[in-house]
Amino acid sequence: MGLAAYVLRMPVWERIEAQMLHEAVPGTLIETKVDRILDGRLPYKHQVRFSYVYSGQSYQATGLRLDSYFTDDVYASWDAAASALPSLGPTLVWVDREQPTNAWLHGPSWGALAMLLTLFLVFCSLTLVSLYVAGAIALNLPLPRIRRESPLAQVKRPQRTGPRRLTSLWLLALGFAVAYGSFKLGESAVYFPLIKAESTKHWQPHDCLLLRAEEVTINRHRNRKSAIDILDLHYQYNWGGRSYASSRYQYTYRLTPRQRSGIVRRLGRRIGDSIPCYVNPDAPEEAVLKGGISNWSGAAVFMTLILTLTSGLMLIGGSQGLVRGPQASKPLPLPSRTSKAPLPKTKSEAQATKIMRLLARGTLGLSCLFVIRCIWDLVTGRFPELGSLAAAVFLGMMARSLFRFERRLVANQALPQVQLTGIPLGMPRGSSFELGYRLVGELSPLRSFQIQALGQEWTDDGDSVSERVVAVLLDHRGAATGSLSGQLTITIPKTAMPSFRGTNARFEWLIVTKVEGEGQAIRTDQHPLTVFAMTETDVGVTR
Amino acid sequence: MNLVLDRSNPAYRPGERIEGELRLDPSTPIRTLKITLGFAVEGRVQESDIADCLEPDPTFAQASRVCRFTFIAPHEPFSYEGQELRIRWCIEAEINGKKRVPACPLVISPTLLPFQPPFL
Repeated sequence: MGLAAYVLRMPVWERIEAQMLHEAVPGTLIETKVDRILDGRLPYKHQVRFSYVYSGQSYQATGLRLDSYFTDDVYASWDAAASALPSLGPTLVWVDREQPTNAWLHGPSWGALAMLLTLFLVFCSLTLVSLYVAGAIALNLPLPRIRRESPLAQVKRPQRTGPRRLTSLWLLALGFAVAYGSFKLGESAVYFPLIKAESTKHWQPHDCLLLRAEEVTINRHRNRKSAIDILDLHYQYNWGGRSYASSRYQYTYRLTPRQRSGIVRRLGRRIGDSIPCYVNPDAPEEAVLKGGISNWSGAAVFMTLILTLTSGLMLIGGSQGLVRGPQASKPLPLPSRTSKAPLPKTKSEAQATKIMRLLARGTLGLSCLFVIRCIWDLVTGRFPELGSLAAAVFLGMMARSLFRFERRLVANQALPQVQLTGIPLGMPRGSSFELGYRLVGELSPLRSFQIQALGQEWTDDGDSVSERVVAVLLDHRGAATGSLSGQLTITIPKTAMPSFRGTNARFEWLIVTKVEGEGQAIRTDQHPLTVFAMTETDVGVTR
Repeated sequence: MNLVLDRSNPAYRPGERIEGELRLDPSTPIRTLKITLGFAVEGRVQESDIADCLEPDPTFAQASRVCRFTFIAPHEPFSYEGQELRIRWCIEAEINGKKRVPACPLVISPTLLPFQPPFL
């Protein structure tokens, strides 16, 4: 709730709120210019002045736009800045109804509405979660979390699967929000640079007079110490009898520091010289020094694809949930207290192995790409980028860990499975029972096999658990041939603490089987055993 | 007002009688009276439960200034002093729905001692 309140206090909310109170009236644009500044968020700042009449009274104002959050481009170039300005003359002006002296040239945009929708969704989600948690605490209801149930509570009931309709609606709304976000990101960082970069192939080679080429540091936020280096270019050219100026080097999302310093080093020596450039014959105010597509645009494509894929999955999941609705699953069978042999390799284990293998291979592939990039740099006589080297090493190490984990998963699955028979649902203190055990499967990778009695205190506060191995009931070391099976007589002493299950705390007994194989492969299974507080004598059993 | 148990060492085996008396202050008018036997789980989480509850006649209790009570020690859970959690038994008198007079902790255990972390 606190976060939601904080979000609602954000300036953008005030802007959005303000937009709702504005009215469009005709006005006249008197003056436009672009100032170069180095201490603000943008290297260039639009300056406008316009007049308008509201409620019979004449005003002049200089506001440009209300919702600049989605249009701020720290890499904006001079020509882009200049071309963004409207031409002088009649225009529409957005006036604050309550304070007509405040007016802006641009009204509300879809970006503001998207932000409004996102804020609304965030607020509603946080409020619902907070209310649910607060209500659950107040009414002493269990909070949703994964718990291991006691043996008597292990009878699973049929439950409903599939998302509920409300969840599906939320998913759809979030999907639309993410889709819009990815579109906006793609628009500014991917599609526009890519289309423009492609179009530069058809631009006319020309001569431009280079006036400035330097790296400058600007502050991204006025009130924060967040500085960024940018390439500050400025060149002039004549086209069709008119003089133009531009500052764009290439259509790209961004330049790396290395590229930037290389450009400055190369062009810095040619200040005042005529250099080759490419001019758009259809819009001569657009010019670049270098055509083609940059690497950063490729990275932005990847990011946009991930976001688009995420939004697509959300939309598909939400739509399917809405169409199908929640469905009742098949009743689950009652749990058997005797594990069946041989236990098949579970679906989740097989899936985990498959996913791990895919992840490991993907990470290795990425690492190889960075290695190839470094080799290519070396071949072309350049020192490899430190970032690429670090990424190659990091991803390589990550792939190694993932492969090792995958091998361990496979080794775990190759271990023999333990079949236990005769575990009672509950036993009084002082009673005995016969526990049968049998190892099923390939015994050759076996290093050790243990059956332990484990006492466990468990509290619901962060799932803190205190465990103590109370007795090692069986300890088999070394490989086994043929089959490994037997029977143990387990007596629960009268002094054993009985099982206890509270709302948020419990004490329970577990029979734990631990099979250890080669290469740190370990398979551990737990079988809860309820110890009743009464003794056999209490319940009238005599032996 | 205070709660006094008959035993100086308040340890009971399951099934034994827990006897004692509530000595009342004559200047305090009594409208409602409840005496409860319950246990509290202490540790990282706190929870409690009531095993038995007596509601003596407040008029009679006020007149006699002493109210005797008897509970049968329950069979579970046993008093426990573990690492993550403790189970402690307690008798509590609630007067006029507000004032609480406790007598804690009792030990309910077959060994007359709280159980310790697990052992077989």
